[in-house]
Amino acid sequence: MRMKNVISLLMITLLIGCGTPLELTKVAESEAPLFGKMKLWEIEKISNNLYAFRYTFYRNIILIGDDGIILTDPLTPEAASILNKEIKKISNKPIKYVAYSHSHWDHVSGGQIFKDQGAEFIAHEQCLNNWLDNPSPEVVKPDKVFKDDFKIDVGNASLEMYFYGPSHDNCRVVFLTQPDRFIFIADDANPPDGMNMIYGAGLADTYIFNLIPFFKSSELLARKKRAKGVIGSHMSFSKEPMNLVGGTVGSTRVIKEQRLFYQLVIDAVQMALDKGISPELVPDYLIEQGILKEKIIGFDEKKMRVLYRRITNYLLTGE
Amino acid sequence: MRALKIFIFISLFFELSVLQAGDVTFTSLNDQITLFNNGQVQSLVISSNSESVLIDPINKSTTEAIKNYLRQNKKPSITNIIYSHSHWDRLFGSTLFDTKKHKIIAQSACELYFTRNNNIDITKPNLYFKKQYTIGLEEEEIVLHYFGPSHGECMVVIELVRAKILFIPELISTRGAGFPKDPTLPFLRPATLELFFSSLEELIEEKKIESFISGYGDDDIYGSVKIISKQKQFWQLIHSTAKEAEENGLVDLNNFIDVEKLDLEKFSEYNNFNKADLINILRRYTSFLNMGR
Repeated sequence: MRMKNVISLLMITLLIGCGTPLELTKVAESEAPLFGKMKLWEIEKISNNLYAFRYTFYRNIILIGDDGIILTDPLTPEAASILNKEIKKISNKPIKYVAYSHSHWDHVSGGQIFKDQGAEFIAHEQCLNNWLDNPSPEVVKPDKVFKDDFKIDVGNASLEMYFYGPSHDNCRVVFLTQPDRFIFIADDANPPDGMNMIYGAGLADTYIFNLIPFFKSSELLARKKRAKGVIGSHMSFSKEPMNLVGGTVGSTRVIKEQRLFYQLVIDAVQMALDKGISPELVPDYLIEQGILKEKIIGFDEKKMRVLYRRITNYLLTGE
Repeated sequence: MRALKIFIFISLFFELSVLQAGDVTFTSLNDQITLFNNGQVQSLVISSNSESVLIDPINKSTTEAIKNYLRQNKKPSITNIIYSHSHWDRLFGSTLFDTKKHKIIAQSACELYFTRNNNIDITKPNLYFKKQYTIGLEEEEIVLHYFGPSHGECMVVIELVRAKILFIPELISTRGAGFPKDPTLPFLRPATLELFFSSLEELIEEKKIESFISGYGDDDIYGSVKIISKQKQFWQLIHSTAKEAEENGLVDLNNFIDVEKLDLEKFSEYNNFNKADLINILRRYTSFLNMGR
């Protein structure tokens, strides 16, 4: 077989592999609803080693190996308490590690219940500085910090953590699960689509100058490690805001789409400035021109005005 | 009116001579300190008999005007350039200086922005400091103080020791405590803002400083340091309002507060009070309360 044909066959096989929707098994869910049929919380099984726990709009992941359990982001004391009970129904292995995705309290509160069981907490070193600057009684400080990357091993499962510079806060890391090869990027790249309107349009605590390099590095990681997909850290929506979907698992293309989302917004603002539009008029100009209206899913004028303003500030100041 | 009284009071001690060169106005505050203002922003150049120190080389035309001013007034040329923070809009004149001949000084947290977000139109600093840096200029002494992230990651407050004046580039207007110019608060660091203001108040108390100069081009030259405490109270009010609104269930799913249910009277005493701005400002604080950042 000629090399060209081999490559084509490989690509087709790969595409079929990526396109096959992953069957998730619901392991447990609350009786209480969040919205409509959506429950307040749920646990889904992705593989024998990998589970996802959603509490309200937030999600973390659970890795179960021969030697114990790795949890990520405990979310809140209430969420952690539910997770603690439910996880014991799934596995009798000890909770050995809690890995933090970044420093924001809304993801990392409530870990004490796991600390009390002897879990070791791991985070990027800059997260610790943030918690020292502004401590929260509900955030357990890490026992171990790292600079570039770190691997947590529990036998036949492991969690790899990669730091690609400041992005959403100054210490967010990309999680890669093994052996299942799923990527998790807190607060961004939520399936089903990376072109969805973002939640916090003011980009508070976001290091805009490194967003594009951050996602490029994440895309490269996904390719290099042949990631099977992405697990969303938040519930998302399909086509219309409020048409909420779980968005537990999706294709790795979501990472690229998320990069394109930011790139398109930056390019649009730059284009307006290059045309001589005065900075304070940039949001109005771009809204009136309908720029990105068709490209961004759930385009929200009010939020886009704030986002355009934030990006204008970034392009004028570098921050 | 109060600002005017302060201005008149201070004017008794500092003889002001004003000079216009193109778009830039130069005001001599004393024998060593000159304020320059290009209509949008303002800053200082401080001279001894042998050297001059420039705070923020705003843009090329302003920096050229400063150089001309120094030449025409037989003042020495610039040897040190202080970056008050990392924002490009105050630094575009920096390419007129050479790192081999000039000392370009910034706080160390700025380094991230200069190295990771390269801009060929900005000359990178060649001297970083962490907490404090002092430049002696004969009788005058310039002390750069870093009190943690406030407006961006690395803004410094500059103390002119002999003159007993502070230069505060952003966050505080000499016209009085008020709402910020941009209510989306793109650069505000709520987690360390209170510490910034408290440290500033401690410095004022310790050095018995009475007035400050801001970086805003439309400000009065001097403001009373009392404005600083009042501005701190503004941010405390924003913080406590956001906290109470959360506790009382007034925050929606997008983290916005229904301001109609708030007592707006206490905000109306601040300059540039605006309900729409208040919504955005409180939105940043509800998000801060959620994230800790």
